Amino acid sequence: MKTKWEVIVVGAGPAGMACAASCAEQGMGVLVLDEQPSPGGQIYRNIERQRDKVLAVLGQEYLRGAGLATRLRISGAEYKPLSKAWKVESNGRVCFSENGSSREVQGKRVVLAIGAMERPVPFSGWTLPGVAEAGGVDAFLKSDGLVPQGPVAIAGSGPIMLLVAGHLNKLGVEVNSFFDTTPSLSVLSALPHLLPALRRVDYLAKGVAMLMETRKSVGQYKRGVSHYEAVGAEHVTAVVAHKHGKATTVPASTLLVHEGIIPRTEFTRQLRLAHKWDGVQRYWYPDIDEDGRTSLPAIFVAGDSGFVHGGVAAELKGEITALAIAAELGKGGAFNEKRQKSLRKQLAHELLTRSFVDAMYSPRPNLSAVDDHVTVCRCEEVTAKTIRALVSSGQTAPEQVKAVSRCGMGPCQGRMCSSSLIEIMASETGKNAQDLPPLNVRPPVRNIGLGELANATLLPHNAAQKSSS
Amino acid sequence: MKKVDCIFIGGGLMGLASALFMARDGKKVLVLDKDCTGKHASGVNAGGVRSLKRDIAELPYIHGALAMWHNMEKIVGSDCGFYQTGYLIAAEDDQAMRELEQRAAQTRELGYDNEMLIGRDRLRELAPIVREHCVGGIMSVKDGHASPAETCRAFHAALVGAGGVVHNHCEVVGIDPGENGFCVHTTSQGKLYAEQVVNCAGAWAGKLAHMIGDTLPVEPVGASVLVTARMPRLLHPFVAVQGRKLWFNQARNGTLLICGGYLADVDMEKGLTRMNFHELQACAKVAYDLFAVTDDITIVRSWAGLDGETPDHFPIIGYSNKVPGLFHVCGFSKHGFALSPMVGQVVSALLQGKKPEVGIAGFEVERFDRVSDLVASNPIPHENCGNLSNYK
Ligand SMILES: Cc1cc2nc3c(=O)[nH]c(=O)nc-3n(C[C@H](O)[C@H](O)[C@H](O)COP(=O)(O)OP(=O)(O)OC[C@H]3O[C@@H](n4cnc5c(N)ncnc54)[C@H](O)[C@@H]3O)c2cc1C
Repeated sequence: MKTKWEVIVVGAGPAGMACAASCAEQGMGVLVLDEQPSPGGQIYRNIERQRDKVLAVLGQEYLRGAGLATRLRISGAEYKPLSKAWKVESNGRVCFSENGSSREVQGKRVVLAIGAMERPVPFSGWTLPGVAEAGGVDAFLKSDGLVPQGPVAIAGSGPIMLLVAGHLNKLGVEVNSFFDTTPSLSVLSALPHLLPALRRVDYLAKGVAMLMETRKSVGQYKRGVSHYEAVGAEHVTAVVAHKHGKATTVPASTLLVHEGIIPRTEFTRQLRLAHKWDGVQRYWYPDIDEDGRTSLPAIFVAGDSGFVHGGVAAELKGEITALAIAAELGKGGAFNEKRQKSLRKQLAHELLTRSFVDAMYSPRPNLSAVDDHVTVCRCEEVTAKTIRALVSSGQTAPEQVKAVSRCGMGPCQGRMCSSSLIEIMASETGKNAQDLPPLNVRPPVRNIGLGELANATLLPHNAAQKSSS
Repeated sequence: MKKVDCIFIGGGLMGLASALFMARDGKKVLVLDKDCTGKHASGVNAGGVRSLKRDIAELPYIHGALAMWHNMEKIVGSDCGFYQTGYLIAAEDDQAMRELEQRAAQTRELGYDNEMLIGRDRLRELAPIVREHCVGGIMSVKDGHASPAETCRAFHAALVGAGGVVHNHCEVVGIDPGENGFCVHTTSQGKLYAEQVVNCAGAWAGKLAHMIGDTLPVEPVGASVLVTARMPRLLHPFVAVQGRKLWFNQARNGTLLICGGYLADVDMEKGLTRMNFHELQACAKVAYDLFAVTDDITIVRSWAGLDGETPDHFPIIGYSNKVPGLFHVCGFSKHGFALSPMVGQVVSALLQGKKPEVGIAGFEVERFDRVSDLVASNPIPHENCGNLSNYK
């Protein structure tokens, strides 16, 4: 396999596929690395070989990915499935693991298009088997055609919940309760953003239709729920929803939760790039320009890993980044400038509803108000109590709390707990979360075997890497 | 602003421990850190507390320190996560075993009875994961492991409890020595005054000395550690193999820590380290050679930290011979964590003009004046240095 590439794209979701295909179409040598067995990312997972039954459920929006995947396949980009990147260097080097062996490749430009993830939120009982992320249900459905065991309860806030409820309904899975935690006042903070959003009536209408449909299809629909718990000994057996200080208990074999979506920043943090705090959706995202450029000339970010805007926007952003890279590497065609302009316009149109939706589904303020006994870091079994005790003993930085408590030090490197750690610390200290920098990440960003490291094929350690990596 | 007795520049354990014992003697002390206490070497090291095969010159320090580690609850109100694991070095052949026997005899002669030779069977029992060919080894049962972050937190809290003052995010940017002590210029606290100043700035100690018009041969060095996923119990003691660059241990939570003085890249402009996977790969290879590890051992992360290193890998402890009233405690060359509580007592005594429990012969900065040319042209080989593989 070649070690030197003009462009290395990490992630084959909409942003990665569009970016890689576009770069390759413009004559660049492109390598695409993705953990999954086939292209698609989260949203178009398993798009190339999907079962008809699942296609019928997922509909037109999912099918959009088929064209993209085909485009990637025929673009001339080298696509490597089941390949996990585990280190990215500022000079464009990437280490990745494939079939248990690791090697290092070099790109003139690296595009990080690793997407987003559901915001992990701890609550009483969240570690019980049977509790899952709502979006995770779609992932199972797409990859294996599997559906969760009913009765299902869904809790949380955000459009994905409605989407998943709709899918389950079509699949004939019983959703007995839907606990919506979106604060009613959110509508007020979203109102100022309604005007631009109205230009996308199609989108809003779809949202309203989804909401109506969900209300009809689920057993009970409860609004204004303040928080919820999973109950059970070995497996979840019931869900308790709290509203106005009153608790409602429903039996459930599966609890699906959703509290919004946040960008995956492990590589931009590993690279120690600057990140910014979004006060509405409450997450850290990398500081990039409109082309996805970071402060490092070799590193770009495209799609939801830059800021969560959804699949269609991700595709446009990937394409925009590709054109920017083409210009930098002297590959740009005659019409690139025009194309770039038109893409930006399309993106702006796509984002018209975004501020409205983001404000509407801003995380509820009590998200981190979990009981002391609740485990925040699953890997290292650190409770909210431990974190709070450290904060009150004077530890003011997330890195300090991590060092003493081990919160965020386990195999997932804080993927599951760092946002909760920041929220809990913010509410304990009264500080703004933006004054609480996200946890550092050190490579390997994905777990690799000890023998795999011993036998990895690395590029020579050069002076450039030493001073600038 | 009132003058204090002593300003410690650097809130690592050297600064915190020295300041703590001085504060307990009723002195006014200030600890300044440009980041925050325990942010660098002292808070992020591998936590190894080892007397086994420590250099002879450091034995009085480590044995003094060990007694303290076993008693930390009383000293700083926290056990600092210290627990006894024992340290063990295996011998791959008879030649290596003879070297270990000589070492044991040498320390026994000096009056230390903790280093015991063990045979093949006992080795297998204690560390079944060591490859079959090893013939025996040497062990010190008193040694152990502590939590660096918790240790820094506890020393910081104890210092404040004893009346000491800590300023975090307070970088020293200039120091004027005067007739009546020092004026220290800082970024966040303006000018501060002290009778004496202690340079305990770790990786920045050379730079700081330069700022005051002194020179110290202390260079920044990055050390790294590999961490695996949790495993069922494979071994209790820290294990190394004679003549090889590797320490292997299993923390209480089951993760394996693998290190051995493997370097990280250093960026002093930003004051940080970056993992060097050529070094980490070398580390993984040695682990593979010496331990019966399989591929179900996965690496989940790595980390690195910055320490100050001297050409002979011994620390520098003592007054500057150029700037009166300036005291250096630095250059711990990747093995200072274990020594720090004892160093703190010694430094506190010296700063107060008292006789310390153990002397500092061999650690004074003058040794470099005498041999500086020699050291520069003929540096001591790097291979077996650093705490984690310090076989000197
Ligand atoms: C990865 C790693 C593993 C290690 N493992 C072990 C081990 O297992 N066992 C062992 O015994 N030792 C170990 N060590 C070595 C040990 O950690 C160090 O020798 C020891 O902690 C040094 O303490 P210190 O106080 O001198 O330095 P530090 O803890 O680095 O403290 C120095 C402080 O000075 C501050 N400072 C610098 N310049 C200024 C300025 N101008 N103004 C204000 N503040 C300033 C810095 O911010 C820093 O906090 C290891 C080291 C590393 C890096």
